[in-house]
Amino acid sequence: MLAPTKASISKTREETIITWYEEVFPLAAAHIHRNGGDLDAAKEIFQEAVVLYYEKLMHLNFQPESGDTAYLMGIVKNKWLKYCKKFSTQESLDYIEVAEESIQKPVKAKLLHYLKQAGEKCMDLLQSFYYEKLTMRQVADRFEYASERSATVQKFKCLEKVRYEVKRKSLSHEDFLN
Amino acid sequence: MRTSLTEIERIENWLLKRGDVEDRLVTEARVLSGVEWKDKVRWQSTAYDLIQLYGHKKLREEVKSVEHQLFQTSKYRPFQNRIRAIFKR
Repeated sequence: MLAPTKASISKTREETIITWYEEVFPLAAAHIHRNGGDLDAAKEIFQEAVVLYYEKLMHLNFQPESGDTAYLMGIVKNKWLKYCKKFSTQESLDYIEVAEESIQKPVKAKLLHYLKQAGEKCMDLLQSFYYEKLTMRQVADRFEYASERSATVQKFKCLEKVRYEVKRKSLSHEDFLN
Repeated sequence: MRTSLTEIERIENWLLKRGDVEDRLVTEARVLSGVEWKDKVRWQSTAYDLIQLYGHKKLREEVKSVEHQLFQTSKYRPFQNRIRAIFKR
C-alpha cells in the first residue's frame, strides 16, 4: 500500500467532513428547525458535533457501533438540548463543553498566539503527531522528510523549541499559567 | 540525536508512560530529585497542552472552511437548496 502524501492525508479529512455535512447536516438541520432553531444555530451545533466526533475517532480509536450518522445525530441532539438551556442564560455554545473550557483559558490562547508566530511549521508538525495521531512514517511523508528517523529528530527539535518558548514567555509574563 | 533531544525524549516517555521501564525509572528519579528537571517536565507538559489546543483550533478552522465551501460555492447548489427548503417549511 502506498504511504499517504500530504495532499491525500488532508484530502481524506476534508472529504470525510464533506460527507458528514452532505449526509447528516440535513437531518441535524431538520431536527433543530423542528425544535425552534434557525440555520445559524444548526451550523454552530453541527460544527461542534463534527469536531467532537472527529476528535473521538482520532484519539480513542473509537469505532461507533451504530455508524457515523446515528452517532453524529446523538451528539447534535445532546448539544441542542444544552444549547437551549444555556441560551436562556445568554451563554455562548463555545463554553458548553467542560473539556474545551479547560483548554480555552485566555493565557494559553495568548501563549499559543506567540508560538504560532515563532514557528507555525513546527506547530504543524507537532500537532500531526500528538493531536492527529499520525505515525512517524505519515509525518515524514507529509512534511517530506527522507526517513522516519529524520522526522523524529525534527519532532524533538520542534518540541525543544516550543518548550523553550513556553518557558521564556511564561517567565516574562507573570500572569501566564498561574 | 544530541543530548538535549534525548533528554526531551526521556521526559516524553516518562510523561506518556511508554518506552523502556528502566529508563522511565531513571527519569523519575531525576525529576523527583531536582528542581531543574521538575521545571523541564512542567514546561514540556504545557507544550503538549498547547499542541493539543493548536490541533483543536486547526480542526475547527478546517470544519468552518468546509462549511463555507458547502454553503457558498455553486458546486454544492443541490445541498444548499435542500437546506434552504428545510428552513422554509
